[in-house]
Amino acid sequence: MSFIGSISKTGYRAAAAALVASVVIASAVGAQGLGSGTTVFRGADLHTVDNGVISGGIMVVRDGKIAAIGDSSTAVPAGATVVDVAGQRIYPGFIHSYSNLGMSDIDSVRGSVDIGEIGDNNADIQAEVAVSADSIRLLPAMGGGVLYAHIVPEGGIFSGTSAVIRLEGWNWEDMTVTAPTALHLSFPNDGDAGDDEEAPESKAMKALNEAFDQAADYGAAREAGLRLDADRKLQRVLDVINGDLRLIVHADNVSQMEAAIKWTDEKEINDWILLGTTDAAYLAEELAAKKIPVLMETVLGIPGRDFESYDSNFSAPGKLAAAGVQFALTGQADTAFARNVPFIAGMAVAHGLDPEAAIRSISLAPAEILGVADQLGSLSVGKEASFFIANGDPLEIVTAIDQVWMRGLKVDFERDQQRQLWKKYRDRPTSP
Amino acid sequence: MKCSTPMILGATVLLSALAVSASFAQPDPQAFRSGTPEQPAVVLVQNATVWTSGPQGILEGADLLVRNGKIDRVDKGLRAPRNAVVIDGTGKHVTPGLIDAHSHTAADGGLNEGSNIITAEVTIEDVVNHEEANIYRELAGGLTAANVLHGSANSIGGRNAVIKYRWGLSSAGMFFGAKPGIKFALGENPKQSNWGSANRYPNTRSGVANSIRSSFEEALDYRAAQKEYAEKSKARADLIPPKPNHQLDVILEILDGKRLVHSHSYRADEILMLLRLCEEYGVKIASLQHVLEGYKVADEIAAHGAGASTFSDWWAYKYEVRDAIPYNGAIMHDRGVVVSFNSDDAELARRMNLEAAKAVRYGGVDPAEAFKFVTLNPAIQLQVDDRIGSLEKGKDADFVVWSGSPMSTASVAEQTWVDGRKYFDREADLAMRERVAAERQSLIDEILAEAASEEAAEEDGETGGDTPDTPDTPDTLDTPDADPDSGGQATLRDWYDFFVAVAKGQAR
Repeated sequence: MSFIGSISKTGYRAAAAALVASVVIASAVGAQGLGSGTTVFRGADLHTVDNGVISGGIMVVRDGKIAAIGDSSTAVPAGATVVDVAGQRIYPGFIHSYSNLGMSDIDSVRGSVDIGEIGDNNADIQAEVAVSADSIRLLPAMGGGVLYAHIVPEGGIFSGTSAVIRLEGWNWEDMTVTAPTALHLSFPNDGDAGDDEEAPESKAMKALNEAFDQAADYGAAREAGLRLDADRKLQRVLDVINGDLRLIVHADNVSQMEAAIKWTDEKEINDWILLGTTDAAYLAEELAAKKIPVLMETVLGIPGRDFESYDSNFSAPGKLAAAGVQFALTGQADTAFARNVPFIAGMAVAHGLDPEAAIRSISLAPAEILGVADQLGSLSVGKEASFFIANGDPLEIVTAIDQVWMRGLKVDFERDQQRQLWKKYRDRPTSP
Repeated sequence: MKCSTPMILGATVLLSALAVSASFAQPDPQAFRSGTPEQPAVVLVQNATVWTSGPQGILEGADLLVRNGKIDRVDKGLRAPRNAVVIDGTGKHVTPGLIDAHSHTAADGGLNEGSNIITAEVTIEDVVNHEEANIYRELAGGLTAANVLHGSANSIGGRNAVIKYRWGLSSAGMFFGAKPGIKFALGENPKQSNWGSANRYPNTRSGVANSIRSSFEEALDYRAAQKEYAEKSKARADLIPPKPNHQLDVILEILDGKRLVHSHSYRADEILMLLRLCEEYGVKIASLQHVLEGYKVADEIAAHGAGASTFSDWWAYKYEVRDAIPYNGAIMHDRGVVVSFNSDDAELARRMNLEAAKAVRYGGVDPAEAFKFVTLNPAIQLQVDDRIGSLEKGKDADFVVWSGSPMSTASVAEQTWVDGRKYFDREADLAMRERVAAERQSLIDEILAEAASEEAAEEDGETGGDTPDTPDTPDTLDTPDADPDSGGQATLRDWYDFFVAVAKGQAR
């Protein structure tokens, strides 16, 4: 069915107006934090992600969590506030799985940017402590259904530890779901040495191996009871060696990815995540066989090589899915565009990815990969009641997201500077 | 297709070698097409949803009839003329070819002449690279024309090039007679806010304004001097004419309304400044580019009559786009400004149909009107709407066949036609890549086999590596001839042979 004809001009305007309409619902409106009381969402198609679609179902939210979910026969607790959302769809909040939301406002204004540190080994850097709860970028992202972010520090070979955060909360502590999520390693980009065993080790590779060996020595020395000055950088790397902290390896091209696979094999690091470009599709079978999960960006990138087909990046997610790789789709870290993450998944659908897998790749899949699937990523009992209500498929740009709820509270978009400016100038009296 | 790494690397080595050879020889083995695709006398797309971007609006179950490269009719129930190329449009959507009013695609380097604040003497037409693969990639996203602009380092920058995506033709073959234009720029870029140093005048928005005014005044003085010379030299033979000034000649074209102004701008203050300054000199701005705070002065822009070519949803990358909102297009449209969405980016230019959808999402613009943001409206801004931008009788047959709604992320462009010629066909592309993959594989196998045999020879104690073992090295290194069997284009294989010959010649 075409879009035109199905929704009238007035329909579009009404949907757009609903984006900002402040529907007052009991006491659960406006405030940040954890919702109290019981709210029931009735009549929507519940796109659970982990349990199919429940048509015209009922979802019960209590104390910020999903308390019950089921079809129309599900019991509505007495005294609950009922939100009638018949004809709408509910999806779990999406996750921007390679992000710096909250760590930057205006790219060119250095004072507003806290993303990259100097130095080679920044393993002791924590991303979450630099999150501004009132960053101008958070509400626009939430308006697109993106309610969580995996925020990643940059800079150096080891750039620090990432965190999974909610995009709303009173402060970074309140916003943090888990931290540290993983230690980040920017794998040296040495080009390709091929089978040349004699190829000299690059400076970066040497630094990586030294840091790693030092951490192992540091651990051994401490275990042996030697009195050593505490070194948090080495401790973080040691945590990875000991299996107490996961490693996320950034690799942008095939040779870097292959070198990373080889290196982690040598170092016996078994539980790690690849964060990289659509080049991962070239290694899909190996990644599937080794059960290496992938956070994949550059789906909307221009093919890097002239011989690649025009749609090689668009079709990479479909190739990962076909090979059985566990993967999440993400935009580049530039978070001004985080609200468009669902459309990246939509582009993957146009080029071979199953629509359900596409939704999963920005919800449950990143939650699983990042180890927070017990708390978010799907509509299921016990998980955070953070979801959005839309009038159609959220992978489609023309779909309107009418309401966003975080931990049982309705998000107030009146606070969004973008919408404030819109309304101010939309309503400007026409000049004489 | 799955690639093992040696394949990729082998192919990379080979192809980069080919790219080097291609720089001094024609045709480019990377080009998917050489020359012009045929133009059928009659093309009929039947039973499609046709987004005309014209007075007919959107018609379901409609037919598009093309004759000799021009739109003939859009109507229902058309009977196929004899010998018509018929395309079954059932379930498909047809739109005009998309137009990008702000592009840098095919501009081969040299986007910014940063030395001076006024550089009207340079032109993008000099640096259009017709071999740039992004032209093809954008065709594959339904784009058929673009306004290729100079960068934004100058308040009055270089002249533009409006091109049609006739992939395979020379750069001159892509020009189609559009009225010439020029890039202006305001704000942080010309005042060098984000440069390492800021030692060039101007450093303020006020200074940017004055640089434009000074240039206009200088041009008027130059004209006055020319006139004075023309008058006085009738009576006297000993006068020296004013020194020709190519830059000021171009500024005079602006003042005479012979050259369109496309001005990069962000903030409401600088937009208003330029409107008023240009009005003083009788200059009407064709398009404000980016114009991200245009929504704050939408009435003023509408009254001046300037078009607004904006981003759908870019913001936050620098301070002057802090107040950029995705509702910008909708507000300006509602207040009577002709609005387009541009790419400014070869990546985004591949999916401008989806940018149009953002005008529906943000601000609720009617879908048919929103789609004009990437078809008719940029054509109006570039003053080429008599030729392109809508599916109306007599216009160029630049159109796209989509697998579904052009506003759906799930749709792909299946065919892109320019001048009634099919420049992109997804089916043909899919078939071609299989052929290319097979050819690449055979070449790589050959390279690997050669390497293995050389290695074996070395192990046998022979010195096969230094002496070419084939006596058939050509005396002169002719570039491969076009092979009539491959549609007049040298095949990858031809180039491989050529490359091997070059390598051996050098070894000797």
